[in-house]
Amino acid sequence: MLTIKNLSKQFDGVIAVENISISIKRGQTYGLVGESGSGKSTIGNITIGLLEPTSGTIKFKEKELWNKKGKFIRPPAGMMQIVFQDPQSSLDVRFTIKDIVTEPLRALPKQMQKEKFSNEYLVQLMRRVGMNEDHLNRYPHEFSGGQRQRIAIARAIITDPEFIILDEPTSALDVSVQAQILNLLKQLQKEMKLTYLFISHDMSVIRYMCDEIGVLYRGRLVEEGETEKLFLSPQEEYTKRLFSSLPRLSTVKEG
Amino acid sequence: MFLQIKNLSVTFNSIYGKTDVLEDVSLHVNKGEIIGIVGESGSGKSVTALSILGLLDRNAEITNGEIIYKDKNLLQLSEKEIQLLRGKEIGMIFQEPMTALNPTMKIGKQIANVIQKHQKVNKKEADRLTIAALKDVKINDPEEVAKKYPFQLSGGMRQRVVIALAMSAPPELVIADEPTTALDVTIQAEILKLMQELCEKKGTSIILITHDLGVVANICDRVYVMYGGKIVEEGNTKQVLMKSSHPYTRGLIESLPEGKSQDEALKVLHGESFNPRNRPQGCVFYSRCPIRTEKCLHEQPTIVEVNQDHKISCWEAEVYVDHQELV
Repeated sequence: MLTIKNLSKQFDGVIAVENISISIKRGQTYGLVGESGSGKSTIGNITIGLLEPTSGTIKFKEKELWNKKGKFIRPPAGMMQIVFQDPQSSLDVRFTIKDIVTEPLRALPKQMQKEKFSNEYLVQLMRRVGMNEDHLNRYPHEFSGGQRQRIAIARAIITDPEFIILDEPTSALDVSVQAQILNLLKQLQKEMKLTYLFISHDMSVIRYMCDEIGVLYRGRLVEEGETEKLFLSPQEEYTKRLFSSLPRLSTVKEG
Repeated sequence: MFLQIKNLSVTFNSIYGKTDVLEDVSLHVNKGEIIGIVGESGSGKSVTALSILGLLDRNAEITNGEIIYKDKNLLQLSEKEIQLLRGKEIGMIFQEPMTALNPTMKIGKQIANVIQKHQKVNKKEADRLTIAALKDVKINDPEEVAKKYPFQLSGGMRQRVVIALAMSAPPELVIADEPTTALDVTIQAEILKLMQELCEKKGTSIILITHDLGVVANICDRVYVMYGGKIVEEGNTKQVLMKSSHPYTRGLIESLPEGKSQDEALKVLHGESFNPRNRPQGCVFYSRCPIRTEKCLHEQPTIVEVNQDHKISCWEAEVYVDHQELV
């Protein structure tokens, strides 16, 4: 589905991402895990076309995303989508939920637009993400964090994408709401045969969600592999340190 | 008892009218103990902490209760008297280290000022203690760091400086409000270890406020679980986490992805985070509770002892008592 080869990105000489190669298979969830400044969001942003790579190639379904002149070649409209971390800032406060959710449709061919702007389709879409049709005419401020993230997800899936980048989709949410969103993402993946690039700093979320993971440290991919294998026997020093730093319930203090 | 909060209630006045944010909160801290206050947004955990030091905003009103610290009711002290406690006897560590430091003053000077003020030593001695304080928080080159400004340090280093500041008096109690939430996990682990060491070495008591049950599990002796401005479960950390008897705590732990296999769906607490503007008449957790009854809708639950070290506030207390261990 997605093949990244020797990708590098520098910001004014500062290296953000260095020589990264990963490939994501169809229907899979690939997790990028790392701490702040490790370059995980930069990779997501280059893939969706928000940042230009310094060197390297990204192929989406066998087609190059960035041409030689540094121009982003948009994949067929709506094929690739993104859900950001903070639903507070990723939804325009002056738009109704209907406007927000249907905005990506403007990029689609006329015929498909017609079909998807239909009330029936929208009602179905809202239910699919656990909301209902009454919500369509309201504004973002009327919703809680979890509901806003559902709205952001509805906006991402309205175009029937094949690939979604999830950039810390639950990091701004309360724990009790996080589980709802993770379940929803898994369910949608099954129903719509989605491929995910899941970016997170939370190891327990990554372990639960991903088939394969890549561990980033200061812009380099230090280790990569099948999730369980990697968690059970990390090879690199940094990966070991990262995994053992996670405060776990199972190591509860005796008292 | 070293610090005791008794039946504390706090109301915020705003353009929407009065909103109750804390209701009848009671807790205590023993000498040299680390207690955790855990809860999600709107649970009242930070308000509880801020009220101890009289740091609540002006629109907040304490409607009931007392905060007894070494036989004095802190709520009755004058601003001047409480100012003497702040920083000296009771230190505070906030979530965002950048806002807690003065951006225009060198690190060394900031710490030396505090030491000079609280310990009545001359400048030279204060400088020496400053370097010692920075060493205490495991900063390798304290002389160099002391000459720097906050913006020249990383987040983890800044939080160490904030801890050094809070511990420099040295205080008898430290209130840490999400001290590691803004930090990366590897740094979080170091900072938590550091706080634990300082607590053991200097006998400082710590109130740790967090939303992270993993953090609580690792360093707290006892824990209070808050929801909707009330304490719903309290006790020995191991008991509260492994044998949670309140449906909220239980639901919270079961909804964590930790230790779950990929093909099992996460158990979910239905509904949304608590909104203090819609405070119910009965139990605060009613709308999301899986075991609610008619009684819970109308009457606030009383506190029930599961055993000597473990209490919950629930009408259906017996439901989970003999349930299997969670972790």
